[in-house]
Amino acid sequence: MRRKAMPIVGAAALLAAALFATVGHASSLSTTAQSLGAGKSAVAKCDADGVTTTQVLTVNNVTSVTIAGIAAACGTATLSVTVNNNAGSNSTGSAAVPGGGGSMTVALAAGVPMKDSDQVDVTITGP
Amino acid sequence: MRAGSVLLAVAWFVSMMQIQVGSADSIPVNSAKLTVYRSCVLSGTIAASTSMVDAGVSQATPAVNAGAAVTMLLRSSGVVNQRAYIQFDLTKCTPVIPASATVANATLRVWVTAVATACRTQDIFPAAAAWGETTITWNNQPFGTALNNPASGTRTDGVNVGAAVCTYSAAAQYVSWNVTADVVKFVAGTMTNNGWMIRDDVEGSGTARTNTYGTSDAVSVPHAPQLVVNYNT
Repeated sequence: MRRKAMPIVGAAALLAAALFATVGHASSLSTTAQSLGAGKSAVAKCDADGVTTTQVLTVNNVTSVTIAGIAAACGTATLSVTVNNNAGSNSTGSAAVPGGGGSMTVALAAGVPMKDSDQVDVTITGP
Repeated sequence: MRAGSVLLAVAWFVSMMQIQVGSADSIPVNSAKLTVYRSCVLSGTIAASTSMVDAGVSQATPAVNAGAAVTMLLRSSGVVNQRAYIQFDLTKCTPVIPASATVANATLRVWVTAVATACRTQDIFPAAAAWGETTITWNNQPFGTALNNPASGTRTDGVNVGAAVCTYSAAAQYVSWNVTADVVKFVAGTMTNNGWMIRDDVEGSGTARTNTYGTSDAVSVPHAPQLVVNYNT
């Protein structure tokens, strides 16, 4: 039994070694993948000339932000707004851009106390 | 038996390797468009503000400083005209706007508390020299005491404010000037940020016309003067 098993085990070991060798070469394989690669690529924008932001206040808190001047090409994309008052308070809200772009008001999850310097970030993902 | 087990183990191992290798060409790659803009909003939140200063100057009281007043008037009237000076400290933006940033647009907003009885164009100009909130007067203002100076044609922007048919025809709202051209230069360092002067487009009107705006010394934070700069880096 042991004599018969030895060649089989040896062959299995060789096969496993060969497989490891193949896997080991994976990083140097030339690929023809159409959607996988390395390097830098510019990410397309749907709005090139900027938007305007206007804080909407409830008493002393920024509760929503109106974004205007959104290009029509951004229609149906997801727009996210974050307000940070640089004093330990920030909040985010998001909504879908109207079909033709234009303007929209995004409510924040929580009011942000208005301070001397606020940072407002607008990110449009898609469409 | 033992050899069979080994073969089974090898077969299983091989199948797993094939699955893993086979999955390589099906990795999903999401390349949705991404558009990002950042805004710095500087607000004159009551007198404690460190981000901006403002003051009105009056031809009627040419040596008096009104830096602590809660309103500033833009008046066109014979020899009692009034102007407003306002300056925002862009270094207060957090994060600081880099000099290499592309400024998409910049808007100066001031709350109007009372509008003129007729529509008036209010011109905004970049201030030609430094001035101080607690020292500026009609007599020592950067543009001097001559009326209608500088010329309207050199303004950065002009908006219509007043009763009747006008862009801003009611009180209790923000009036906005497009100051993008100036802020682009401020950020790039090609023009010194001395703020702006706002005046009536035609000073010396035979009938007094006055628009009144709230200052950073006004009591209501939601009505604070603001500079909104939208940019990307």
